[in-house]
Amino acid sequence: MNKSNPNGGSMQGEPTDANLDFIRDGNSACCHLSGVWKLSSLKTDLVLEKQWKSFLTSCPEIQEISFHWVGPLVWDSRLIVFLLSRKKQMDDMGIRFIEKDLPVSVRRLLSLSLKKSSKINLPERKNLTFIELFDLIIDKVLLPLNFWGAWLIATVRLVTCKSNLRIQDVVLACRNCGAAALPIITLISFLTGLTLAFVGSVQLEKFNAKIYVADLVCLAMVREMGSLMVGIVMAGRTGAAFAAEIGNMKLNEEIDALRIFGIEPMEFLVLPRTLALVIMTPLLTLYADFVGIMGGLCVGVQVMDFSVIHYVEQTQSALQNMWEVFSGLLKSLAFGLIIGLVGCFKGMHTGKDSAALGKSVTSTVVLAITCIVIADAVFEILYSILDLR
Amino acid sequence: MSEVTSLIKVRNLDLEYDEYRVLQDVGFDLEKGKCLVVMGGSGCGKSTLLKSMIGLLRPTNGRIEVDGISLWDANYRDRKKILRKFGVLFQGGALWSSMSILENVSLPLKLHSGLSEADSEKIGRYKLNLVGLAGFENFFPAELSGGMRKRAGLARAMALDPEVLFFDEPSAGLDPLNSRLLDDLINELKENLGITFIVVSHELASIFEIADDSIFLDSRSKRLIAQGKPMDLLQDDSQPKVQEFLRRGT
Repeated sequence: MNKSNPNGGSMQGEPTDANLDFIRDGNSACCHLSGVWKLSSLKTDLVLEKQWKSFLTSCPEIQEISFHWVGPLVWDSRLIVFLLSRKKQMDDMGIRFIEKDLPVSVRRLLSLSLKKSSKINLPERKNLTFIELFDLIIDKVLLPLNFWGAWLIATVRLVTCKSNLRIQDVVLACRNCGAAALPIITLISFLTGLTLAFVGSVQLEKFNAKIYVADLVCLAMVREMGSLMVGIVMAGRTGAAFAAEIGNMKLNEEIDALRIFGIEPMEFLVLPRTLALVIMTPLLTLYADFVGIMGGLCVGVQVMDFSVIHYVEQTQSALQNMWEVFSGLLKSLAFGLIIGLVGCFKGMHTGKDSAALGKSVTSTVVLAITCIVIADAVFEILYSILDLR
Repeated sequence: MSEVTSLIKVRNLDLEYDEYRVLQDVGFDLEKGKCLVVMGGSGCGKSTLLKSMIGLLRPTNGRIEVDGISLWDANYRDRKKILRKFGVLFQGGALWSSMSILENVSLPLKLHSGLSEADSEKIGRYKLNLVGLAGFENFFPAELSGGMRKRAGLARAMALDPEVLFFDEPSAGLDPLNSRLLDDLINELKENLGITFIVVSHELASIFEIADDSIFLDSRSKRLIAQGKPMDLLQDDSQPKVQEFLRRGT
């Protein structure tokens, strides 16, 4: 008797490619399987499918087909998948599938794969009434407001010295989002100042007012670009890190563990991080303003042939009103708060798997940058209405 | 009779996750100083039941009473008082990754007992000794093996000397030897400290080793279908599903 070997290699001579032969006997037929039925073998299923279909079309009166194996049969999952799809097709057509003459291991795998799907218990989905659905939607909409409210309460508790906030957590967060961000802030703001100077010099040269490049760079940096660039960098760097860190803590049940011990995650995780950002973002903005002005100075001195003193004096004259600096710092304070709240909110409400964590991080960056740009516009409109520009 | 000595009573409990019904009409009692094992196949709601019992998931219906006070109907202060009686060992240990294991154990003490830093660290060291982690105080969770993390989690769960300890699949991810050590530890704590245990597990060797009582949750009907000592349930022919589950462990 021939032997089948699922791991390849035949017992009798060299096996040929996957092959089907049909022997018809009245209303029943016998399908002989032979050759190499492996995923790596040459003949595609399409050829075999064609052969199978043409047999069924030529004999529409067939009521049962039994499967046999002939000669050296080498097989893997390909044979099982082929047989499973044949069985499904035959069941649909009302033709009996007889597998008793196939190797035992093939029969076992077939019955196992047929049994498996019937055992899975899908979770029972509740039919929601309109009110329950409405409630669910309201819950989702109110979630950010709830979070903001809880943050406000935690802040009030901090101000009234009732909070369990650990000062070392704030210091650590300050170091991570402040000092560690200096290299990237330096690079971005220097290049921003440099670009502003180049763009400005081309236009101002037309009016013979090249020296006003110093005014342009200085005012653009302190009013707008310093805080905006810091905000965007912090959203991508720190906001995303907060979401990932807190989201990962949620996945590891660390936040549940905090709640069990009566430690409010808002005070323990969110408050130190937002506080650190509110402290560090204005400081970084001040630094970015300075570095941006230095970028402009480089272009002014190297490309436009101004002396350093001349450029600095022109910058000083543009900055006679310190409100220009404070208005940018006020914005950056709001940006820091926005980034902290968005990052922590997304982290705290991340899903239950690592894919959800990735989504949280991405949406943190997108949402934080969007909110920053909106807040920036709101600030400018307010300054304009209040005649502060 | 059991009504009098029951520390925890669960009555007609229904639990849902968003729009999915997980459990319905679950009810059981647990006596003080006993170990109850919650059994059932994957996805039957064991961990969900535990979450509700430790105050993390509000039931849609029913009551969970601890010492006669309903956990979910109690006011903020009473609820906090009940939760102070609990300690929880989460599946992966859930140690706070930014702190050393000594800080992990001593932080709840510092925040809740009003002890000085030095005193809470002293108690923290004692708890770590108890679970065989002396000398590892300054290690961070990432530097420990899975079994050690679990033991550190147990030390933290015991930090506030809880009356009830909840374990979510304590043997998951542990080798048989470490799993056995954890079982022995549970039995010792039960006998010596009189702690009540609620253990979610489908590790059959552990179930037979530690359980004084057990309940079986059925994923198909979403109900509690059997309660009793595992050995008794094994003999009970009226529950073929439970018998089939338990037979794999004998």
